[in-house]
Amino acid sequence: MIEAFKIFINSVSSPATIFTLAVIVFILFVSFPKQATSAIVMIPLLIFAAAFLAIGLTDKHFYHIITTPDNVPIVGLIFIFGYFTWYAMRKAVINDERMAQGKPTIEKEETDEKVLVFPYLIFIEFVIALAYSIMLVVWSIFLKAPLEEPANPTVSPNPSKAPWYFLGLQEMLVYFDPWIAGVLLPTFIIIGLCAIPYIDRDPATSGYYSFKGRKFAIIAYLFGFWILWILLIIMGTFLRGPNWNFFGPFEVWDVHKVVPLVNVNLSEIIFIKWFSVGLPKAWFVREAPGILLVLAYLIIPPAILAKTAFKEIYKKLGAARYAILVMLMLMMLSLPIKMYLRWAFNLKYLVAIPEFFFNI
Amino acid sequence: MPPKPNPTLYSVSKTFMWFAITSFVLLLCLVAMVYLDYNREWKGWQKKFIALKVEKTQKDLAEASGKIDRSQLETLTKQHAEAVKAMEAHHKDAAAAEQTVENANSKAVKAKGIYQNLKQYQDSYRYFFEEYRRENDKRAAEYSVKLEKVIPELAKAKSELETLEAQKEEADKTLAAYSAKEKELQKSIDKLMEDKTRVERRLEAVKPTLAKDILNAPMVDFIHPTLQIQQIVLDNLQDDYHFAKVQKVDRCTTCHLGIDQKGFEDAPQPFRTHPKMELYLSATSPHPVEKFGCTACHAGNGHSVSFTNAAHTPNSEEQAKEWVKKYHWEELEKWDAKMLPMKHVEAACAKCHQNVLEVPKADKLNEGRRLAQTQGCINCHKISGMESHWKVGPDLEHVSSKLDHDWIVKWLQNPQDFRPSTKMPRIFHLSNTSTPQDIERGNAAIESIAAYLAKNSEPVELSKPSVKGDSAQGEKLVKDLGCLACHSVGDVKAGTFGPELSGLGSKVTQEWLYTWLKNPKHYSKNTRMPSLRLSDQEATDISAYLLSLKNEPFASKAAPKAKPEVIDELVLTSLQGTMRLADAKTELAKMSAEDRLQFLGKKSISHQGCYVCHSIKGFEDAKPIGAELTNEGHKDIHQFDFGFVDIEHSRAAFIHQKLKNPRIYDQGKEKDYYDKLRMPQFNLSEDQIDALTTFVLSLTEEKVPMEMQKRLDLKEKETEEGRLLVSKLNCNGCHALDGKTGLLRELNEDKGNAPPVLDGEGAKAQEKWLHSFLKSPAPIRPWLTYRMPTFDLTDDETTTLVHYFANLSHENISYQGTVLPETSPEKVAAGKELVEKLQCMKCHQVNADSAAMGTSFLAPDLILAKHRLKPEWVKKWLTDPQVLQEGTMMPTFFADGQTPIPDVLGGDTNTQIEAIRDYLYQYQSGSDSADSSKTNKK
Amino acid sequence: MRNKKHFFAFILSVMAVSFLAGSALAANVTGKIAFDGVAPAVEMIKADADPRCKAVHPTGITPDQVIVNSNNTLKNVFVYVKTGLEGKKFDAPKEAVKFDQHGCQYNPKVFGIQTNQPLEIMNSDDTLHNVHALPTASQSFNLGMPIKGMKLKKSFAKPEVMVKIKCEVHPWMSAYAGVLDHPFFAVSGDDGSFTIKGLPAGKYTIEAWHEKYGTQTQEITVADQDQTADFTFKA
Repeated sequence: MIEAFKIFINSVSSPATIFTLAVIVFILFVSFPKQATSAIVMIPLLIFAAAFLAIGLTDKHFYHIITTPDNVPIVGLIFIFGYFTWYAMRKAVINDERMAQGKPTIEKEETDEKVLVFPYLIFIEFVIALAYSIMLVVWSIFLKAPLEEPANPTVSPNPSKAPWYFLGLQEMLVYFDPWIAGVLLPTFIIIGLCAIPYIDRDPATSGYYSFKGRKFAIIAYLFGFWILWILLIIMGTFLRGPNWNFFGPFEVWDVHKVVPLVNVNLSEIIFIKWFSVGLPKAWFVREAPGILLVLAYLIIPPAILAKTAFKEIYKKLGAARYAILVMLMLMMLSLPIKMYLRWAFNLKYLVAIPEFFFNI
Repeated sequence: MPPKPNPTLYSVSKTFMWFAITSFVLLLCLVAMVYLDYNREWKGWQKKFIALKVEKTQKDLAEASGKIDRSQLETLTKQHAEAVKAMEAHHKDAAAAEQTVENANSKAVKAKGIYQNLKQYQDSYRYFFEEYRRENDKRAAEYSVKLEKVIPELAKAKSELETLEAQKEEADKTLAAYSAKEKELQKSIDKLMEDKTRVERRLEAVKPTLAKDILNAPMVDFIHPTLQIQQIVLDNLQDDYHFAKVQKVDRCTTCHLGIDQKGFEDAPQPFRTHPKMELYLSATSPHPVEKFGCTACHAGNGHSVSFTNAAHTPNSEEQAKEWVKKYHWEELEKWDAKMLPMKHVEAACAKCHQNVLEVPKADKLNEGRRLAQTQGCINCHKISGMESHWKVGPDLEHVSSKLDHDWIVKWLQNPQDFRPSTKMPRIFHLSNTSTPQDIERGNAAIESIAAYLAKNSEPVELSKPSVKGDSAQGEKLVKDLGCLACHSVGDVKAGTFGPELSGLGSKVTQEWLYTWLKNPKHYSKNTRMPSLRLSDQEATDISAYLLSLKNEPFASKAAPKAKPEVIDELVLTSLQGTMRLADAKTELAKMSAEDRLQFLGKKSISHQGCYVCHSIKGFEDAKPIGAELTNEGHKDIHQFDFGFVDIEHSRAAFIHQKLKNPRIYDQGKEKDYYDKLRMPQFNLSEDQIDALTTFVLSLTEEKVPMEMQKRLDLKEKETEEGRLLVSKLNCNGCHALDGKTGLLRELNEDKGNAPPVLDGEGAKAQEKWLHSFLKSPAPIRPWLTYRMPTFDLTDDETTTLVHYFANLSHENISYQGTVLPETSPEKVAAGKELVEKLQCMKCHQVNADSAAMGTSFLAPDLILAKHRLKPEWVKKWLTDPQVLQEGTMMPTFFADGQTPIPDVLGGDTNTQIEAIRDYLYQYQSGSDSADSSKTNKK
Repeated sequence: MRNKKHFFAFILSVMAVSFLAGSALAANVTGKIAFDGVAPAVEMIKADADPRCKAVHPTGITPDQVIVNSNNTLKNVFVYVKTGLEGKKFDAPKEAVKFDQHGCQYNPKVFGIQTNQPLEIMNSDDTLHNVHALPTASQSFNLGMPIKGMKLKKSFAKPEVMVKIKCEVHPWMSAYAGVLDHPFFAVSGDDGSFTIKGLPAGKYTIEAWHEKYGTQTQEITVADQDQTADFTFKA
């Protein structure tokens, strides 16, 4: 029975499946936040997570990966971030309900009451600090940093993994050209994060949790953070093995695993597969369809959305800020889009110009 | 809502409880942290060692106490007590004497003060007086007066001082007299108890005390701990960490505390004394621990002070289990340079002892090296430093004059079918080529190889014997001439250097065997088999005997025939390596059956690498097919392909398994026929595999600094070249030489009839003679049935051997000739007289009568001595031959240094021996000895 | 003090009596070595090589490997106590065993000698002999004796049965020495009989050794009566 469970988990963990499942869960979470954060859903989820961990730890390979001192924090990360997301959303849902009933928000009620800083802030901070110190001392005693032999330049570790905060980018490298995944997109992430105050100057719902008041921002943030960042980190830590092959949580990390993977460029699909003519010699002819597609993606959706779904936003933000917002959104969405194109069509690059080392 | 006065957010008293709990828990955590950090593995071991040392010292103490002569101690103690009583009786006098001493002392001190004071004045006055006098100052006179006054005062003070000092000494003596006897007796007692006291002091120093415990406590143990990490820092040896070379620091002695001290041979590990202290670790050994440390030989992680992290490697499965239980040992995943298991520890010798044939005292490694040569490993696998070795297999350039096609086919099917002791490994139908299809392919390859060899064999002219051969006589000759030094025949298990000679009747023809025995180099110019200078009759007899030994089961077997379609398939596969299938098919169609066979033969030989051991026409420049093993002992473990074989992932385990069954790593793999592993299956015993594994583990490219290597001087290099040649020619098959016994010498119970011992040959034979003898040997000892073969050595080889013998005997070489010591005609005449009286010629001459007795007791003709022997050696020989050649038939004439002829040269043994020697060097064939031309040229 | 003197005297007398009693409890072992069968045919050895030997034996020398006495007994059989004397020490006698080379033959051919007992080797012939002893347990020696009448002394350090002695100049000469660490041995003589004297009481194995016919053993128990132990060798 446990074997069947393990096999099931292994198959469900493959990148396409797990990503799709995560997107579905995400959509459900933001569509029905009240139900999603209620005890009926959360407690079984917690029990399932704990049981999964307990059963999984009996498996030798799962145990080995989970208890590597480097990976223990990632397990902690999942639980801690899950807790905080639930907490914020729960509070937001409660606040939205109260506001719908005309009651003040929880924060408003709380701020009307004032208590003394000492002891109510300092004391408990101090006790928490002591507890935290205990946690750190115990952690450092039991989870020792691994000290391996001096590096051997002729033997590269396989897999060679980035630190956890870059594993998302390393996963992106599977789908994108290094220039895009390593330079362009991270730059957009940083610029995007910096630009948030420029784009969103709406003071609504500041000072208290609320979902309905900031639906777009919160959905955009949760999608970008949970699906495009944390999920990729989880995948990179636990589901990627030697040669960056996919390995389920209960699979042995075999260096010799060979999985057939032939990816084709869009130009090859169009010219060779569909039209059965050879690839044109000149790169601009060859990549014309891809370039047109990319330009269309960047130009047409914003224009359409400005007139339809984002009409309010366009009015509120103005052309410049809207353009920036939409550009950032399109960049963000290009990642899952490319991922699905890869999984569905084995697409390598939409635009492949090896002459300039420029590929999208 | 108005703010509540002092509202609460949560219960503070409960929070106080949590504060208390967390504080307490944190305190415990911190204490645990300090304890875990402080309580190291190695400290436990050091404490155990201290307990062991205490125990040992206590034992020594008991022993020392036991050795004390109880009765003497009693006597002395009684006497001492009496002396003390006597002292006390005179105690008033002693007190008075003490008082006197005190007074005298104080008086002397006072006088000294006065004296010193006056001296100062004197010096000062003198200075001023001299100065002023020089400057012609008036005050000179003043000071002169002062000086004159003070000098006598000073003298008086001095004499007073001396008197007082003398008085003081007297007083001291008187006082001492009272206690003199007591002190003397005390000294005697102390001397008696000297050893015990010493051991007691030792015990005190070693015993753990409270003070030591405090010094070792956490936080304080930086001041002067008694539990310390011990380390040996080595200047000249380095650890190679890939991108840096780091000075070796060995901390092994932190736990292995008794390893360089005598007296812990029976202690439990890790305190046991190192075995063979005269060879390792002690200051007088060739490997003192301060210069070599531990990891240079044992490898492992010298920096670590934990059992597991030091990369200890268990010697066997049982030991691994024991270690898991006792020390919680686990294999280190991430440390490449693990310790060598004890059974392969000799592998570490090779990186310093380079360019030698054998490393002294490293028997397993030397056996591995020897096997690597004799089994042909070095022919196929390149090992840098060992390229100059010869091919171990017989030449196949003329093989069709020796063997027929069917025999070759049956032999290649499985050489052990014909000769179980053969060194030729099995190449076909092994574990990875034993499916029915692969067996067919193997048969096709074998058939084609036989065809290729037959076609590419140059014919050789064979002679036919003209006389009839006597098999019984041949058997006797084989035993008597010394063939057994290299070969085993039939039931006689003797030499293993050459092939076992059973079954020759089912292998070769009489013409071939006769031609071969008469002159092996005629058939094969590279053979190591020498010529025994056989006469026609002897060669015929021996070949008759050898051909009578048949191998019926082998001969009656049918040679498997290859299927033509399999041959075609293999030819096609090879052609596809260079052209497309369509072209390959046309190419194949163009080839006749014979062409196909030849093509496949050439392909098979180059695929299997036969030419590495056998010289074959067409493959003179072909490269060996084996993997290079120059760095095999240090190759990264991930570069070893263990495949699906479930063994421990260590180099030793890989090599061991490979030698046992080379094809095993193909197990479970799907491979094309020509991609499969090719190493052939050798018939090695478990011990041989062990030795070869040690050898392969010793191969490394690691460079040890020149100061630490065992460098050879010129003479040692020459000796090593000689050793290599001796191992190539198998001199030890007959002769005892260079620390090894001779096989034939061992087989002979009566050492007098055995081949001579060659130890000391350099001191014995003149170099010019030795050179010409080695070039073309001739019988020296008429009674010896064994015949020294003619090896057809080149000039270089002969010179190498002559230098080799000279170096082994620490002789300086003189090709010009030996200088004869000065002598006088009287001495020579006395020598002649002695030779007659001692009746030397009874044995040392040929005449008709002695021929009637048979040549079995004739000694070498003494005419040879002048050119053959060195004069100093002749002297030693005459003094006592049994010392130089144990068991020789030449008797001792000067037993116990006494001569049996007291009236010549005054009965002085030494002079008599010199006289005999001088006579021999002037000796011409005399009147009652035959002409030298008639002597013993058989 | 008077009591002490009496006491000592008593002890001494008891010791003396027991010693005598003990020595009285010793016996001789005698026996005959019978030979069953026909003596092998022998070929005379020519002594032509050495004129001195030829002069003594003009017709040749009889091989002495097997000497059958007229009463069908075997000569030169070495009989000795093999086991039963463990732990007992016997001092080597100072008197030497005499070993002579006379008429180009060894005399005695078979003899026994104790460890560290001197062996006096003499050459009574006017020709060169050499005495080459080949023990494996002790140091071997090879002594040349060119002068008539010369004597040399040697000894053996360790027990060994039997040590071969040969002469390289005259190959027909051979002798055998049985080296033992006790004095209880004998060699059968011209009448095929032997006597081992003064064997203390006890259980023993005695062995009879012959150059060609090998060894035979017998168990005997010695009390105070003389014992007999006969052996028979087959051709």
